[in-house]
Amino acid sequence: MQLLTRSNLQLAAYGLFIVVVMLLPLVMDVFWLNRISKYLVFGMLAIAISMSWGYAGILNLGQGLFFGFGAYMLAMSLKLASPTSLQQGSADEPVPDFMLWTSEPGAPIDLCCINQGSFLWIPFKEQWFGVAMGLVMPMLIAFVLGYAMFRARIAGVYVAILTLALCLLVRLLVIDAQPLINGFNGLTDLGWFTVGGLEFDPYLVETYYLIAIITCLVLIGARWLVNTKVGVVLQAIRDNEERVRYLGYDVAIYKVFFFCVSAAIAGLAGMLYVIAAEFASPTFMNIGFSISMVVWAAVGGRWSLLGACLGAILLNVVEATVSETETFVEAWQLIIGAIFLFVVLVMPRGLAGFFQDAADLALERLHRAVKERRAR
Amino acid sequence: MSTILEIESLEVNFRGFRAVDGFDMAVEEGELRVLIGANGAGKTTLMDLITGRTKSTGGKVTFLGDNITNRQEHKIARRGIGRKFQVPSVFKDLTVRENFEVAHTRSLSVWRNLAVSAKPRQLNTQIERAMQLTSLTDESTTLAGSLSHGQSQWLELGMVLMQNPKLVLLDEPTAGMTALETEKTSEIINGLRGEHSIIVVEHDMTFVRSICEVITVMHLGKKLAEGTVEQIENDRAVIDAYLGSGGITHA
Ligand SMILES: Nc1ncnc2c1ncn2[C@@H]1O[C@H](COP(=O)(O)OP(=O)(O)OP(=O)(O)O)[C@@H](O)[C@H]1O
Ligand SMILES: [Mg+2]
Repeated sequence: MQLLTRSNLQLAAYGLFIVVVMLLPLVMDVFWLNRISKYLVFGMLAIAISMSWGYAGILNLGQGLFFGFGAYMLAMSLKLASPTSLQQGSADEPVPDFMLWTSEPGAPIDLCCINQGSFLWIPFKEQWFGVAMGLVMPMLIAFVLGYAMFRARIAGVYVAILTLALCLLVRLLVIDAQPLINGFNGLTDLGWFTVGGLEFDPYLVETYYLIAIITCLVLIGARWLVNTKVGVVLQAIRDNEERVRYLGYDVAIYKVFFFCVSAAIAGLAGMLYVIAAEFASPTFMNIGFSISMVVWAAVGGRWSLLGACLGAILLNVVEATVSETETFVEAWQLIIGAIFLFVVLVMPRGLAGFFQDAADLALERLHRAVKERRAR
Repeated sequence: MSTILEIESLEVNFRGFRAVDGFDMAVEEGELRVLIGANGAGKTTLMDLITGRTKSTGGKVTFLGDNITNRQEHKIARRGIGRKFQVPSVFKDLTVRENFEVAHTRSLSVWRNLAVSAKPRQLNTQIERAMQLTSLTDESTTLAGSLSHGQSQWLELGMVLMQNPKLVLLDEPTAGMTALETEKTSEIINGLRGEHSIIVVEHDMTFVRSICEVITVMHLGKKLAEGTVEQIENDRAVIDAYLGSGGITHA
């Protein structure tokens, strides 16, 4: 049995990543841990992109839509749990502050009827309802959108355009919905996510672990998924969609499935981001953000889940360090653009591809050397 | 013997151009039928119509007693019709083994396949057998994109077998093959006789003679003649239709 094989090296890389993520609190203070936890969330987004783009060939330029939905769903619950909201209503009947500012004079201070849509907030008093919606809503939207697109055999660049357009449309609707979700300003002044009495203050090590563990689980889960037969069929679809149909697979259903899983991961990432950053805002649905996700995945290597995840983390760490130097801030967009171009043109498989090639080469040399020694 | 596939006055109209024009054909269970015809006669289009790739504008296709005309491609495939394309059509970014894995369609549903590992521990005897049959055992970890032309033809042939369809449609399986490769291919196809019903489009008359029972000749989207090799070679209409191209052997 060979110990040093390609798949064992890959496993080792996953293991190393998880160990490092788990041990970071030993060497970092809570401020950096909070930063890193946001980057881990971005890593999750890149994993979602790698799954849909790298494995299934679905380039989603509107992933921010799913991220934003996840974020808003949890943020609504946390908003109701904030001290301000509780003061304005009562412990049983919290009311968000911005609803008061915009309410008609004489309107009752109650979620039922302070404004037209406010009743929608009522079930969000239960935090777990928000969490459930943060997963269900992105999946539901992905299902409807995916089903419509993939049944009609819309593919390639049209998927990118449609997803991007939908994301922008929803962003406009959110900005417009001032009375309902505070429009342009987003949801701020949130309470803490609470599980069994433990409040997840973003500057607690526990919060870092919550996010880190979920990220690792998502990474492992995604890796398992692409290694099932469903994953291989999807790669076949990416390769030659038409051929797969004549083998009897319902191609649209396979794509919808992966699209939904990818949306669920993005929704989960949105929720975790709210916990770490304590706000939700329409900027989550900016085009720039959705495109950044694709850039992270491309730089890290879209055909490698771990590569995409690391790409997101590395680029964000670099950005954070660079932006501490005033002159570089402006140039950052330019640098990122250049890196992206370089990767796309010179190493289409990203950093992960580069390391894989290097490892393959090293393994080959090693095996040859061993053989030669044996022969002697 | 009972009829497995029945085509009745099938027609497709591409903006005024009838590539298949009132075509009739019946194939018996276990039969090996050869379809010949000059370039552009409509052979590939006929296969497109049977497999749902192109929607017909008239006529009817009946498979195992069910009307399958213009059904969705995957539904027709699930009924038991497999197809090898004229241009070898395999998954280039996947390994040979993975190609077979995808073609191994015991279960087609997403949920069931979630429980199936892509890299099963125990060897899959069916896949091993298909790789042996197509001489691809040594290439199991090669990317399909870097196979030779003949090898990709075999890979696709093997994939169709993996699928284990009741009716196999083969569109020029020996195109671009050396004489040796062609011989091996006709061996493979002969081996399938009886187990599957087969329709094969072929130009190579040596190959046709080596495998054939009944030939159907297609011309300008219509059936021109049908019969044994001798009958076809002496058929007036066929000879007339092929006069310009120097006889049937060079069709
Ligand atoms: N989608 C389409 N739209 C318009 N015309 C088409 C279409 N598909 C095929 N045709 C035409 O139909 C005719 C029959 O083509 P087909 O590919 O079926 O011929 P063939 O018998 O397979 O020929 P070959 O021996 O060259 O493979 C050709 O003239 C082709 O140009
Ligand atoms: Mg053809």
